[in-house]
Amino acid sequence: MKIVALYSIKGGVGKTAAAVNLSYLCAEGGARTLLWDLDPQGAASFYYRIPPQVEGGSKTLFRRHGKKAGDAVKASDYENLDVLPADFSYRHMDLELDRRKHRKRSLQRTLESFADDYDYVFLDCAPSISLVSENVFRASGVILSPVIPTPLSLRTRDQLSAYVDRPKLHDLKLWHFFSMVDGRRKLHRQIMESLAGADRDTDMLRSYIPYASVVETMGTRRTPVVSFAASSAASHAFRLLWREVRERMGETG
Amino acid sequence: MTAGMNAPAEYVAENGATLGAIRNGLREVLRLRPEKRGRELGFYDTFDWRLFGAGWTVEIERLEGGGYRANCRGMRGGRVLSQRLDRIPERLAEWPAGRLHEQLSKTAGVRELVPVATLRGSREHFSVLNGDDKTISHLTIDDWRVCNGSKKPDDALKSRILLTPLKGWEKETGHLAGSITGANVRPASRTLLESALQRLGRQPLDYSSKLDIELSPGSPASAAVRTILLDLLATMCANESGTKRAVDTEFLHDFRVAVRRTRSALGRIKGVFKPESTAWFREELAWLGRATGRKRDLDVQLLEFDDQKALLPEELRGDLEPLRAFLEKKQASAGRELNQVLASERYRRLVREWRRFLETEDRQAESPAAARPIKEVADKRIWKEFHKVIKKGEAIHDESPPEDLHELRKSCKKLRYLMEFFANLYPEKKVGKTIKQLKRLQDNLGDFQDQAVQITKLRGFAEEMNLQHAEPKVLMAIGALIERIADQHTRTRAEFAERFERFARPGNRKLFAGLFKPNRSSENRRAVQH
Repeated sequence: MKIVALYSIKGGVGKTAAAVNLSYLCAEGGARTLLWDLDPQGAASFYYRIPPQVEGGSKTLFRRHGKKAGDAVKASDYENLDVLPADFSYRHMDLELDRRKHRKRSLQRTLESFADDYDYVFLDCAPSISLVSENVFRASGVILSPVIPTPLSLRTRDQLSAYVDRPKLHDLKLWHFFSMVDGRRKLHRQIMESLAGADRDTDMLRSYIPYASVVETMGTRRTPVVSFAASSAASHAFRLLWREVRERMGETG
Repeated sequence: MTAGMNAPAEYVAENGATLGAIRNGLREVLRLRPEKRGRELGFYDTFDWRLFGAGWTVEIERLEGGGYRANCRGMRGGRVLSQRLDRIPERLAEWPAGRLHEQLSKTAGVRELVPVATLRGSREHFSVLNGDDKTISHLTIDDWRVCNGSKKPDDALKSRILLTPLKGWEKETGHLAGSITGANVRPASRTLLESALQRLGRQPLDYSSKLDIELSPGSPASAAVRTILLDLLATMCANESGTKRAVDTEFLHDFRVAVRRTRSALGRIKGVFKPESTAWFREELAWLGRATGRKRDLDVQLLEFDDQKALLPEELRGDLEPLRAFLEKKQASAGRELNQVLASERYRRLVREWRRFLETEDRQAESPAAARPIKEVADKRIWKEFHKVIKKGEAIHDESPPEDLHELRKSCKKLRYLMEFFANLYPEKKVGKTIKQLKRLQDNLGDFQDQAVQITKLRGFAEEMNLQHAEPKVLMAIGALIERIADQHTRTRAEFAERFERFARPGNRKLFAGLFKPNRSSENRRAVQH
C-alpha cells in the first residue's frame, strides 16, 4: 500500500484540488484508492459530496478495537475510490495524538489496518506544522507539496526540505510541484524558467498545475475537474502530474 | 425498520405488478438516476458448485452498447468483486488479472466455470441519490426470462429489484429500503439464481462428487445396493458431456471414480446379486476403466508438471519444458481416443443394459440372502474389510517388497468405498472420524504408489523422447527429477510404520469395532437413538 500525502505549510496553494484529482486518477487506473481528508475544513469531503462527519470524532480514528477509522470510510461516486471524511473535531487532532502512547506513529498504525483493502492512500493535510504533520511524515512514502512560483513560496519550500531532512525520515520522498501557475505573470514565468535549467533541483517535479478558474468550479460542480472537464488544460496538467509521480515511484505503464 | 443494511436487499413484484408500475412506484419514493442497461445475464459456477459452496455467486452481464461486466457477489456480508470484460472468457486463465480473477481461481482450483443459468431480457441500472446528489446505493430493476435451450418458450420470471448500499451508506440506504415495499413489491424469499434454477428443474449444489446416499437400515440389501449403483450411474452420465468437451480434468475424474466405485460395490458387496447375473457388467466396466485410463493418466501428469518442475534446481527447470509439449501431444491423442470410446455403441449398450438391470427388480438375478437388512450386510462387509487391512498391514515390515504396500493400498480403498457407500447408516461424527483415520493411512500408501509409478513413467517418457531425438538436457532434467522423486519415495516408505501403527492402535480399533462389528449392531441402534 502506497501512501501519498498532499502537504503544505501554507494554505490556499492548491493542495486539496490536487488531492481530489490525483486520487480520482489513481482510482480510474484501477487501483483501490482511499482519500483521507485530514483537514477540519473538509474541502475534499465536500468536493466528493461526503458529509464531513466521523461518528465519535477524531478519537475513534486511532483506536484498535470497537468503533474505529474503517467504520467511517464511505464510498465515493467512483469505482475503486473511497473517502475517509474530515470532521470538525480534527482541529483537536494534535491533542488527541499527544495523549496516545505512539505520539508520532498513531497515524501510521491506523493506516496499516487498511493495507489489505487499498493499494493507495492519499492524505489531504491541513496547512500547519504540528504533531499531525509529524505523524504524516512518519506514515507517508511520498509527500507532494504544491508551491506557488513566488520567492516567498520558494523560501517556505526550502524550510520544509530542511525540516524533513533527518535520519528518522530517511525513506520519505518529498517532491514539490508548482501550483496555481499564472502564465500571464512575469514573476511566475521568471521563477519557473530559472528553475528549469540543467542544475535543477531533482525534488522539483517537471509537471505543474496552471491556475484555472475551472478548478474553482469544483466547488459548485462537486466533481473532480478531471471528470467534468476532461479536456481542459487543468485536467491535462493533473494527468501529467500523476504520471510523473507514478514514474518516480517506480511504476511504469 | 432496520437501522442499516449490511447486505443487499432483493424484492420481487407482487400482485402481478408490471415493470412500468414498479418503476413509477420507485420513482415516487427514491431519487433515481438511470445508468446503463444489461440485456443478458449468465450465472456461472464450477460443475460441482465450488463458488456457491464458498458463498459466492458469479454473474456476467452483457451490457447494451457493448461489453460485459462480471460480478462476484458474496452471499454473506454483501461484498461484491467487479470486473469489466470485453468478451466472456472461455477459461479462467483468460480472465483479466485482478481480485475477481484471484478469488475465482482460488475457489475453482483446477475446475473451469460453466454456465448454470442464462437469462435474457433487461436489467436497468440506477444510482440512488441523496439530497446532496450523492450516490448512496445502486438499484437494479430486472425483467428476465430463463433460457431453457429447448423448443418451449423461455420462462419469464417475476420482475425483481436489487438494492445495494455503497460502503459507508448502509444506514441511509436502510432508511430508504423501508419505503420500497408497498403495493408493488415484497421482499424476495429466494435469490434470482435460485428462482432461475427452479425453472430449469435444478437447485444450487445439486451435483457433488461426494457420496451422500440416503439409506434406511432396515431396507432389503438388494434395494439399497440398487439405489447406490443407480446414484453412481447418474454420476457417470452427468459427467459425460463435460468429459467429451474436455472442459476441465475433473469431469473425467468423477466419471472414472463412479466407475471404480461401481466395480468395487459389485466386487465387495457379496450376497446381493448372483455372480453370473453381474458377470458381463463387471467385464464391461473393467473395459471402461481401462479405456478411460490413458487420458486420465496424462491429465494427472500435466496437472503435476509444475510441482515436479519445482523439485528441480532452478537452472534445470527450463530444460524440462519440452517434456510438457510432449505430454500435451499425447494428451490430445488420448482425448480423441476417449471420445471415441464414449461415442461407441459398446459404451452406450453398457449404460442402457446397466440401467435396465438396476431399474427392473429381477428377483432371479438376486442371491437368496438379498432380502437381508442392508445394515447387517454393511456391518459384515466393512468389518471384514477392516480386518483384511489390519492383517495385511501387520504383516508389513521394513524389508517387505513394495507390492505388499500396493496390496494394502487396494484393501484400504475397498474399505473406504464401503464406508462411503453406507456412511448414512451410522452416526455421522463417528463414521467421519473413522474415515479420517483411514484417509491418513491411505495418503501415505497413495503417495508411495504414485511416486513409484512416476519414476516408471518418467523413465518411459525419457526413452520415448530419446527415440525422437530430444536434446540431452531434457533427458538430464528428467533424470534429475527421477532422483528427487526417488528420495521422496524413500522418505514416504520410512513413514509407513508409524502411520500404520496409528491406524491400528487400540483406540481406533475400538472405534471401528463400536460401529461395524456385527454382533454389536444392537448397541449401535441404541447409540443412534441417543
